[in-house]
Parts: sequence; structure tokens; C-alpha cells
Amino acid sequence: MKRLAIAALLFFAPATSTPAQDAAPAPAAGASTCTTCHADAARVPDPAQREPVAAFADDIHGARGLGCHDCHGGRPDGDPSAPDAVARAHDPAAGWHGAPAPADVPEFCGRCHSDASMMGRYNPDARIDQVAKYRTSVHGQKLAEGDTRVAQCLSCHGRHPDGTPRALAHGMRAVSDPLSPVHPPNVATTCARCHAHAAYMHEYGIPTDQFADWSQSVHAAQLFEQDDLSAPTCNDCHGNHGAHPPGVEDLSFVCGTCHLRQADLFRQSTMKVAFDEMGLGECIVCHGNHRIGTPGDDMLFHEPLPAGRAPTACWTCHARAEDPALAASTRMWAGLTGLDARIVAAKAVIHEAGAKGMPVGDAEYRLSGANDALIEARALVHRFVADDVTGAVAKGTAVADDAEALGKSALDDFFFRHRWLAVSLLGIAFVILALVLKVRQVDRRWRASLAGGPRR
Amino acid sequence: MTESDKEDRRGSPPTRREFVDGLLTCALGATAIAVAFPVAGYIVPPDAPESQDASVVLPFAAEELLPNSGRVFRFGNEPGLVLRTPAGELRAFSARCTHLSCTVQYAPEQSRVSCACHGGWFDLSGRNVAGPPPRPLPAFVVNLRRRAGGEGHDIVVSRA
Amino acid sequence: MTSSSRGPEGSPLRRFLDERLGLSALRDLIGHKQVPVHRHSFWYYWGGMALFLFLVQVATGILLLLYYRPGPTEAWESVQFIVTRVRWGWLVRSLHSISANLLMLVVLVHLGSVFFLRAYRRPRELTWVTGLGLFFLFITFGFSGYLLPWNELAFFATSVGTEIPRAIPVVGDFLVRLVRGGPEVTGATLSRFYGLHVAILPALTTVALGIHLALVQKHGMSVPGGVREKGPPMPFLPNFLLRDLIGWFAALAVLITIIVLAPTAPFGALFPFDALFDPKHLLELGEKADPFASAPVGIKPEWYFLFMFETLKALPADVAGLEGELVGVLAFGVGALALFLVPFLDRGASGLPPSRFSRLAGGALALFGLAMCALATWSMAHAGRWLGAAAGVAGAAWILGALLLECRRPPGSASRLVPAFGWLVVAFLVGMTVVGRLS
Repeated sequence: MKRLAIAALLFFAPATSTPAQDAAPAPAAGASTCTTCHADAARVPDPAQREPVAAFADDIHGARGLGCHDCHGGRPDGDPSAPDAVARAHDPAAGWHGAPAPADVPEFCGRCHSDASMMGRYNPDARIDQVAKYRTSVHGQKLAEGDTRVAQCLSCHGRHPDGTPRALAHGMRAVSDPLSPVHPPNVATTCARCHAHAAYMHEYGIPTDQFADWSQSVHAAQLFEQDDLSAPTCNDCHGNHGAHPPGVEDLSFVCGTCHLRQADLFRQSTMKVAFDEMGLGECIVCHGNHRIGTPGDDMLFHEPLPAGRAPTACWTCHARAEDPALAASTRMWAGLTGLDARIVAAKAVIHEAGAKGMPVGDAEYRLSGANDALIEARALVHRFVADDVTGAVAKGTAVADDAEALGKSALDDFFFRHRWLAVSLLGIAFVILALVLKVRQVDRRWRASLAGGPRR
Repeated sequence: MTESDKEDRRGSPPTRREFVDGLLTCALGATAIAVAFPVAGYIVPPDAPESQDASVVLPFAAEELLPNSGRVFRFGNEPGLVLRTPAGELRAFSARCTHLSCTVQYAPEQSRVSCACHGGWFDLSGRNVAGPPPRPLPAFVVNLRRRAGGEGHDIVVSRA
Repeated sequence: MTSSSRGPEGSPLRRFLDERLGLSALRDLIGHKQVPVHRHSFWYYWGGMALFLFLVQVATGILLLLYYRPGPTEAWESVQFIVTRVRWGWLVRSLHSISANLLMLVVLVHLGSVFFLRAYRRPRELTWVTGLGLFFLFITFGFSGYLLPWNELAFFATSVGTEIPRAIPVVGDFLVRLVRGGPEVTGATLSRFYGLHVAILPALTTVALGIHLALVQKHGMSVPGGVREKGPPMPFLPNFLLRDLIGWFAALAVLITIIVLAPTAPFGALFPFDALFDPKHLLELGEKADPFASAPVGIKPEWYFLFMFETLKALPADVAGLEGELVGVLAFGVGALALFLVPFLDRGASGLPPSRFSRLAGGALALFGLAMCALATWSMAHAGRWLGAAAGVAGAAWILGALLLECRRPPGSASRLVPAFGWLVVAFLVGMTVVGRLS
């Protein structure tokens, strides 16, 4: 027991100690013998043993009304100043088992979190398979083999006040709480505590650049810049409790949880068969796994081959010029870039008409159909059949042509105004001519009348 | 010119004065017409009597939209989707998918709104429930208006 | 119409109207109006031109009212609707917009010509006063109307413009709130400006214009002193009116040419308008106003406000303990007041000896002018703008020179002091407008 206590002491190394804890014992709500002693510097001189009391105020377990004894066992009642207070509180007969060792943490947490009736009291919908899934994960398997450096419950759900891999247990927050280390925007940073730490990961022989890579991906941008909490972070592809890297043949299912269409199309293609035979990881061959960027038409293998640019993944297998893949891919590329250019051109015509004040709503509306077609065509690339793509491109081109025609007719209306101006100016010139003639006439009469002649 | 002069001159070619007067009358008359014509055209309301940006009347009757069906319509410069739930309630949303702006459609087999581009799904309240769309579809306000002189009701969709 | 039914008064219709409305009296009144013919007669046309353009504004304004909707959620959309969907809507709106600018120009020329030809002399002082009232009413028309499309340019120009009264001590903040209908420019401002533009100002203008025209009719056209008439005066009907019409049709031609050609690229190359007067921004609706967006770079008011804008920009933050903007506002206030008082200051023009009032007020104004020139010189020099400092010195020299000439004037000759100040003011206004345009 004492060894366990020492191990716990060593595990929960001193964090920042707050002066408030060193002062008079803080009478907390739901105060018990535990908190009375453990908040008192005179009774418990070790700051690491006092730290949990203050931290527990923010803990979700504390918020649900649980106390120290609910996890650690022992007796929370009794007189703290009695001579046998410690023995009474820390009585194994009352179930006290102190703080668990790292290897025992999953079982410790699982006593409640894998118990359906227990969890059902607090959240009828709560999952109870975390520990079971954890044991299937790489972390779980290694922990069972005795490696205590791997992640267990506390590593991700606990607090990390100084940002190191070591975690503190008390002060745990719900996943939906933005301060929780496993709140979606924080997940990658939490995993990175170990997985981006080259020295820590050295003995496992896996790379430590995933976090850096992912941080530059579109998924990270979606999460941080667009505040889209559904954007994929580590656990969305690797799983959280049952964390393991996806199998090579399963990647299209993983990516396909969001990118349904492309995954479906890919699985219908001959590329899937070829990739599986070669043990290549489906989607990530072209798109990358962590540093996934915005895809572009230029990712297609096309002629003229871009000079000076890094060759696409297609090169690895299709490097021969007479490879029919080159022709097919070039057709797709030409179709997509062509439609893109048509849309841009139509947009320019429409914009010009709009800038001249002509109504272009019809043209713009029609053009949005061309955009739909372009997106559809780009999705169809994943079946790697050129005719699919060129078919969709043809539909889109027809729509874009329509839209441009509408824009042009708006411009023609504008130039109608020029003709109107010419006619009107002619008309005004005619009126002015008539006026001038009349002026001369009345002037003549007026001067004649001045000279004394009869007014005619 | 006096009245008797005018009578004397009836039948002879116009004097210079009459010519100039006639010219001026023509010119001013033409001006009057050239002004009246556009003004009249202006006053007559255009075919779509109100700006389509805030509110639009759909080109089909409410009764033509059966339960568990939906139709894409044009709202200003963007597509909109009007649907009738299986329970019979009319709802309208922007048909621009919140992922990459493809036009969504109603999927009767699932009683949900789908986006064919990347497999996004929205429920009957416009909430994004599956696939890549990050946000729900913006909802519009739907009103019914009895058709003047005809049968049935018009669907009037306006921005929230 | 047979000759037998014609009586001595004309056709039956005419007799009917005349008996009930007294039309023949009206016809006599106008029929007897005469216009003097001399080498400055050209300037007589500008008043009528202003009236014509104002009537164009009224007509196009009424037409716009059929479709325009005030309110921040609908104003921009309704103007967009007029310009894109209503038949000939583009023409009606553009006419209203461009004609407003042309009207301001014509009114300024009319004001200037009346001033320098001293047509304000007795007994036409009240014609001058009502005319000046109309001038300020038209400026207010322009300012209030500019906001109505509720586009970005107008929103920020109005925000800047309505900030100016804040410089006035004690009542400044209240005035700004009064003008804006609230602390900021919002939909409340739009409602207020709309009411001003379509109801209050037209009512006031009708009254002022009515009095102005009645006075012009009563007193006839003024002949500048010392000018010889080239013969008897011309009858207004039909001789002068026909000439007026030629001018009006020519103005119409100018308007529609600008409207149609301005949006197309080579216009700026063909005409030097772009440097002084950029019609494109009046014809394009631009973006809808977004009160929460930041002001676009280089926001400027309309050209007829540029002089005020530039002056306030050029003033230093602190002038002898007073806030710079306050000095500017006060200066313009004094200037406007002086304008109203011109007929009473320039007693020489009416052939009267200077009165105590004219001497005191004139002296105060001269001192005021010198102080302003000194301030301009000092602040421009301080900011290292030597051209501006030179202009200030030139202004002071001009005033001193004019005063000197006035003192040395042989008795009995016409005083040129008021026109001298007038030229200085014109130079200042034109100069500041050009500076504003080029910066």
C-alpha cells in the first residue's frame, strides 16, 4: 500500500502550488474528512496531496455530486482531529485503495464507466465500451505488456498544467467543455503531447511529424478558421479509445465517412483492386494522410507534363509515356480545366454587364448550374474512367454557354442605349433647329414692329 | 396674321411663317411623345412587380406539391428548395449546399434532402445530419396566398 | 373651329377659362415682361436653366417615388429594382442623379453672375435673400437625396458629413443627433432624410421659389450699372422664352449624353470630366451599405461639398485654444451669413452712402478675412505645405490691396470692395474643390 502511495506521489509530481492551499483549510461545499485534511497544510504538508482538493471544484465528477470516496474508497465522514482519523479514512476494509498506478488506471475508471447501470444514472445514453475498446488499441495492448509510458485514460482526459505528457487526474472536464483536452479543437494538441515529442517516441520508431503536417491541412483550417467542430482531427480517422492506424484496405471507408461519393466511386474503380494488391493506402496515395491540402485539377496526370513541378503520385506506376493512363488522365484534366475556364469567361461577361447596370440575375442563376456540373465532374474523377468526367464536363459546358449567352444579351441591351442616345440626340438637334428658325422669325417681326410697321 | 388673311390664303402654298410654325409644332410634339412614351412604359409595372431579392412567388400552385416531395425554385439569383413533408407541412430552404454550394435535391425514399456532389444529407428541418456539409441549410419563410380569380394557392417564399 | 364662334377674346374654351380663372390677367402679366439686351444678357439665361433642371428633378423624383422604398432593408434593393427591372428605370434614375449635379453647377453660375453683376441692389434685396435660401435648400436636397439609395458610398459620405456639426460647442452633439435621428447613421437617418427630401424641402422650396419668381416678375430684370443697352428690351414671350428653350434642350442633350456614355471606358479619355466630375459613381449603384464594415479608402463627399471637406481637413487640430473643426464651422457660418447680408453691405451698388452697419459689418468681415488668411498661412507653413501658405499670403495681400484701393477711391466712383471679396471667395472655393478632386 505504501509503495502504491509512493508511486502515486511520484506519478502525481508537484504541480504549481497555489498559496491559497497552503493557508487555512478551505471548507468546500460537500466537505468531508478527506477535504478537511487534504486542504490543510499543517496536516498534509505535501502540496501534491493537497492539489486535488482545489482542482476537484472544476471536475465534472465533483459537479455530479461524487466525492473522493466514490473513486478512492474509504470513509469520508468522521472527526478529522481524532487520533485514528487517517486510519479510519484510509481503511481498506471500507474499500480504500488510494491512487491507482498507471497500468491500473483503465480498470480504475472502468469500475464506473463500463458499468451500464452506474452510468445510466447520470447519462442514460452514455457509452460504456471505452475500456473494452481501449484494450484493443495500440495503447491498450502496450499497457497490458507493461509499458507505462503509453496513453491511458488520464493522459487524454486529465489536466496538463505544464504541458508535459504527465497528467493530473482531478479537474477533469466533459468533452463538450472547451477547456477539456479532448474537446475537438484540442484533441490534436493532446495527442501531440506524446506523438510530436521526438525524444519520448524514439523507442517506438514511428514518425513524430503528424501534428505538424495535420496543422497545415484543410481539415485543420476547417476546424480552426471556420469553427467547424465536425472537421476531422486525430480521433476521427484513428478512433479515440480504440485508437489504431487504419488498415491499408480500409482507408476509403475511413475517409468515406464524410467523403461518401468519392469513396464509393473509388471502390468501383480498378484502382482499388490494384492498390489493394500492392498494399497501397487508397486515398492517401494521392491526397496524403495528415497534410491533406485542397485538391486541384493539376493533381491529374496530364500532358503537357508540367516542367519543374514535382510529379504527381501517378508517376510512381504510370511513368511510361505510352501508358493509356496518361491519355485518359489528360482527357480528364483537359475537360476539367476547360470547363473551369468556360465558367470564368462566362462570369467575366456577366460581370461586365452587371457593372454597366444591366440585370444579370438570370445569367448568374444559370451559371450556378455550371458550377454544380464542375463539382460533379471533379467527384467523378475518382472512378478513373475518362468518359464519366468528359460527360459531366459536356453538360456543364452547355450550361456555361447558356449563361454566357444570357450575359451577352444583357450587354446587347446596354448597347441599345447607345442607339437610343443617337436617335434622341438627332431628335433634339431637330427641335433646336426648329427653335432657332422660330427665334429668327419672331426676332424679325419684333424688329419690324419696332420700326413702326403694322404687326403681322 | 388676322383671321381674314388666313381665309384669303386658304389653298395657297404655306408661308415661311406657317412652315416654321409647323416645324416647331412637329418638333415639340415629337418631344412630347418621346417623353410620354418612356414615362408610360416606366409607370406600367414590370412583369415581376417586386424585387425578387426579398420575396418570390413560386411558379406552381401549392396543391401541385404533393406530400413527401420537393422542388427547386429560383429565389433572386440563387436556387431554393421547397418541400412538403410526409405530414403535409410546407417548408423552404436555400438549395445551396453549405459544403461547396452545389444545388441540393429532395430524396423521397429517405424523406431527407441530399446533395449529390459529395453525399451530404440534411433533415427536413435543414439540419446537416450526414456527410461533409458543416452547417444547416438557411431556412426561408413560407406563406400561402389564395390565388386571385383562379383555383388553389400561391406559395410565397421570403427570406427569414 | 369656324370663324363665327370666335369672339374678340378668342376661342370658347379660352373665354370659359378666362371668365373663371382670370387667365387673361396672367397672360398680360407675362406678355408685358421684357428682357433688356446688352453685352451681359447671356447671364439672364441661367436662372431659367436652374428652374428647368429643378423641374426635371421634380418630375424624375416623382417617378422614382412610384418604386422607391425607404428603409435599410429595402432602399438599395428598390433602386436596384428600378435600374434593372423597371422599363426606362435606368434613364429616370440616372437623369435624377446627373441632373442634380448639373443643377448645382447652374445654380452656382446663376449665383455668381447675380453677385458680380450686382443684381441684388435695391429694390431686389429680397430676391437675393430668397435666392440664397433656395441655394441652401438645393444643397440640402443634394445632401439628403444622396443617402437614399443606401449604398456604401452614400452611407459613409453621410456619416462624415453629419459629423461636422459636432464641432459646435454646447449644441453640437444635440444637432448631430437631430440630423441623424440618433447617435449614428442608421435606418432612422434614412427615414428622416427621406421625409426631408420628398416633403419638407419641396414644400419650403415651393414657397421660396414662388416668392423668388414673383419678385423677379415684379421688379423685372436688373441691368448692371454702367452698361449700355443695345436697343429696346426684348419681349419675354416669345423671343426670350424660345431662346430659353434652346438652352434647355441643349442641357437635355448634355444630360443624356453623359448618362449613356459615362459607363463606357473611352468617355474619360474624350472628356476631361473625370478630373473634376466623375459621373460613373453617380450612375453605378455600388454595394449596399454595411454599417459594420469599415469605411472604404479615400471616401469623399460630392464635388460641391469638397471645399468644406478639404478646408476642415487642412485646419490644424488646435487654433488659439479652439478646436480646429470648430473654427472651420464658424468660418463657414460667418461666410454664409455674409452672403445673406451682401445687398445690405454693398450700399454703393444701390447708390447709397455707406451706413454705420455696413461699415461695421464690412470692417469686421475684412478683419475676419485677414485672420483666416493668416491662419491658413501659418497652419500651411507649419505643415510644410508651401503652396497653401503662399495662397494664404496671396489672399491677405488681395484683401489689403482691395482695402487700399477702396480708401483711395475717388468719391462718387463705384466701390469695388464687394466684388473683390467675391473674387477671393470664388478663388478659395474653386481652389479647395480642385485640391479635393486631385488628392
